Amino acid sequence: MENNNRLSAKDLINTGIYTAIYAVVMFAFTIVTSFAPITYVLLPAFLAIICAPIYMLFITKVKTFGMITIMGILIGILMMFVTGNSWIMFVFCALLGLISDLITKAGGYSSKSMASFGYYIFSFWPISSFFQIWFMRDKYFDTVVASMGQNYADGLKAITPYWIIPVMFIYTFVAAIIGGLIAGKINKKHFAKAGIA
Amino acid sequence: MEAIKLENLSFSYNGQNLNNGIHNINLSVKEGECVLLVGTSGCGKSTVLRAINGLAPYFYEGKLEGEVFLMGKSAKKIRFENKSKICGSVFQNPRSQFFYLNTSSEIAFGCENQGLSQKEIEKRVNESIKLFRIDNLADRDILKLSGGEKQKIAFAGIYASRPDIYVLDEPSANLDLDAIKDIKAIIKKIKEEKKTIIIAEHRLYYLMDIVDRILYMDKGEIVEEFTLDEFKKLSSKELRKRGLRAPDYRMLKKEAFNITKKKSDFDEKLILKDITCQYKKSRFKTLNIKECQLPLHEKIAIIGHNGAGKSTFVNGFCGMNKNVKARVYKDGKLIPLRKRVRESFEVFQEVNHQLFTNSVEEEVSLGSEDNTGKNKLELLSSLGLKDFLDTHPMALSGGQKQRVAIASALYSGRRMICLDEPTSGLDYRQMDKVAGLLDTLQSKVDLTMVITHDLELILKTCTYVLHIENGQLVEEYPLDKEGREKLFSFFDYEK
Amino acid sequence: MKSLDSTTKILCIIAVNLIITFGISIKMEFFILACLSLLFLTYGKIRKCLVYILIFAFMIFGDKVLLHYITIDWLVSFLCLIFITFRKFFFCIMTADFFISTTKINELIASLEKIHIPQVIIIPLAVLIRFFPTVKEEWEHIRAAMHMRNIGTGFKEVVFHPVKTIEYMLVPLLFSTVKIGEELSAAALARGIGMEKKRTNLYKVSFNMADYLVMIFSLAMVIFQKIYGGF
Repeated sequence: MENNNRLSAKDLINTGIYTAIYAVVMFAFTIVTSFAPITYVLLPAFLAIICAPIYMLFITKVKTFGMITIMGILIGILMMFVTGNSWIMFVFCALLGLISDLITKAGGYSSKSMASFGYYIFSFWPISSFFQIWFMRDKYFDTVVASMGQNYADGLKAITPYWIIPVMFIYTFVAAIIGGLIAGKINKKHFAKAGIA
Repeated sequence: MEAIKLENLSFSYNGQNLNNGIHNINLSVKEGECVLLVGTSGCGKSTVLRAINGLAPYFYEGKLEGEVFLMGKSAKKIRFENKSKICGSVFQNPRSQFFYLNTSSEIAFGCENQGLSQKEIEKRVNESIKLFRIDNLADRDILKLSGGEKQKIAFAGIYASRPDIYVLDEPSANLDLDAIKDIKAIIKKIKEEKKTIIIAEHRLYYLMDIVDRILYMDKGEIVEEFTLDEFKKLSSKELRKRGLRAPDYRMLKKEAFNITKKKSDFDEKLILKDITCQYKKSRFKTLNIKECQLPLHEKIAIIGHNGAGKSTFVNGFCGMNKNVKARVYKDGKLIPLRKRVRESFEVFQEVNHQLFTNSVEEEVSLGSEDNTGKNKLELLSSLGLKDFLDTHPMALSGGQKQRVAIASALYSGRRMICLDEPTSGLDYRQMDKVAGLLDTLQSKVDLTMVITHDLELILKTCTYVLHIENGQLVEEYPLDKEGREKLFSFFDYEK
Repeated sequence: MKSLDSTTKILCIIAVNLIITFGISIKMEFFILACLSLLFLTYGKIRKCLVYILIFAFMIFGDKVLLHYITIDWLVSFLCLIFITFRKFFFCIMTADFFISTTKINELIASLEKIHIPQVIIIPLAVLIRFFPTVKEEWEHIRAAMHMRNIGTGFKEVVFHPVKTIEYMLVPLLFSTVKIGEELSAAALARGIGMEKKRTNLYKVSFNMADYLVMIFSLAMVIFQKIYGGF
């Protein structure tokens, strides 16, 4: 390639392709598990494990700054314009993409541990679908008060605590580490052996 | 003027596929000339094309030495993005070479990249559609088109960007006879416009009245050069020595064959009754066959045009397509569906989909781990895979992958094996190997079926033909003398 | 009627999104539902519109009537989540569905180019949309192959061999899609895709009266909600 620091058309196409694979697997998994509400809360963790091999294979193709950021933006666009999530999610996805990109760049796009660390950060994005409820908590409870009465709303407040979001971050982080390990194993076992990574 | 000039051109790929490079290629193609590159797979003909259209080394990274001149200009001095104005490329896989999902946009894609005005793009799109007579394909969903139609759109798109040179890399590899006929007409029209064409192909017959010159490549070098007349005079023996397909099906007529069985001689057979397939949304039956027979221990070829229902038939037989209903009898006894599913196996055209593990050895025992009775090594060596026990299946060649899939089927005790177009895009030598594989299979399993468009494969090995058209059985016949006549008339592409 | 431009629809999504985030009253909910239904109806999507109205009616019914009859605590909190919280997201989903079901990809790309979204976003986005059906198709083939080879993806396998299951599903998918992706890249590059020149588009993008009306209306609603708190 003539210029290594700038995004080429090839990079952009690759980003589109891997995001498509990532998104299909993500949507398929979300649909399969959406029957139970508990899986909805655990979804960020599940996705962090399942999507890791795709992300990590993508990383082997990333040599320029911007690709991971664009992946984040694209996922944000999908979540906002296709599945109807809030703009908060879009901003958060783009931001996480940028942070992971910077981390991976700090590792020179070759350091495995930096790439993995970037992935841990990147996998936080699904949590942002809960942000809206979190941010709108007071307004939400106003509505609950209006239809259910103050007593009930207080009860509900007690069982949906503020700390749920930090807890989500923690278990998603752990899941992303597991996902990264699995991805590393699959990468070595398959893609490196067959010569495509 | 010379449209293409290659001077001492060498290219070697970075990384794994070290063999497919080219060495010291010298070639000059005059404007308006049509040159055909032939040779076995991996001989480097695709690499020559990639060096011309610039994908090597821009996309396929590697080391390029020597000079490429396009329309008298050194390729080094042309930016890659601008090469598409000079060179238009059509590739072999119709599924992967479109960028939009709408046909008209797709035709316009190249022009859009050149930054032409909207009015000009519209004009060119309409011209392409008119010239190639594809009005019926305008403004359609590409995903719903057949492979041949997609390929026509690809040609129209290239034509719209008005290149001087057309670089065609096996454009017929995935097409059936009718589609090839259409592609041939398109290439002819391009030639009539005095454009320069360079084609790499395995299927030669459809190009025989278009090309001016034929270059035979081997191991990355141009070894021989023929004029069209010289090439036509080559005997089938000389062609096969070079690993090439027959450029004229009539050559095959003269060849000896040795099948003497008559239809009544097939004593062991499966009888299939009322094979139907109706999708929920459709009012018509995609498949509707009253009765047919599949003789055992023979090699059955299933022929028919694209969309005739061949794959549906086979998928239904193997129990993979749940919409297909059929009753299968052996010696007058009904074989239940579950038994059929358990005993049958299909090798997909895209064999990559059915390989899951990271070594050939593991792949074979996957899904039948408790099957310790059989000798895995013996099986693998009988299929020529002994040396690849620890190789990743994805690092193998297409033919070897097919063998791995079949090995896994045999190891899990399947008795009925179907192959879906195992020879599409293969040269003569590889085709010969597939024929050998079918021979090996015949002695190991009960039923061998192969869906194919490959006349040479059928003549080489098959013994029975099932002809399906529009979801209905046209004919079934053993490949005796009479059967061969029928077969030739089906493959008569000039009618 | 000339249909709305993709840009307008994108603006609608953003507007609805913002309004929801500001927090809305029940009157406002009805008002937005009416506006969105109108959009669906002008495109002749009557059935879809009815389905959405029914879902909304059910949630309102649940919120205002059903909840009062239920006394089990955990069930109430769960139903609150569905009837009240989900009802807010409902509008975003409805608008997004309107966008998806009425927009052609080539028109979308033309519009994005028109409003100067950078090529570094448009190209991957176009590839992404183009590649979705391919990935889905490959996925189905692989599932069929797994079925034929007796590789289970049932509950038992997922629970006892989760890593193996991921491996068997993802590895062939990645191998085949990456290969197709490479061919797609090569084809697109050979046809001159790049970022150096300004691209043009076969489709003409023009805003008409309806576009301006919808845009101004959306904007007005956002301001109205933000400053005056809606209806």
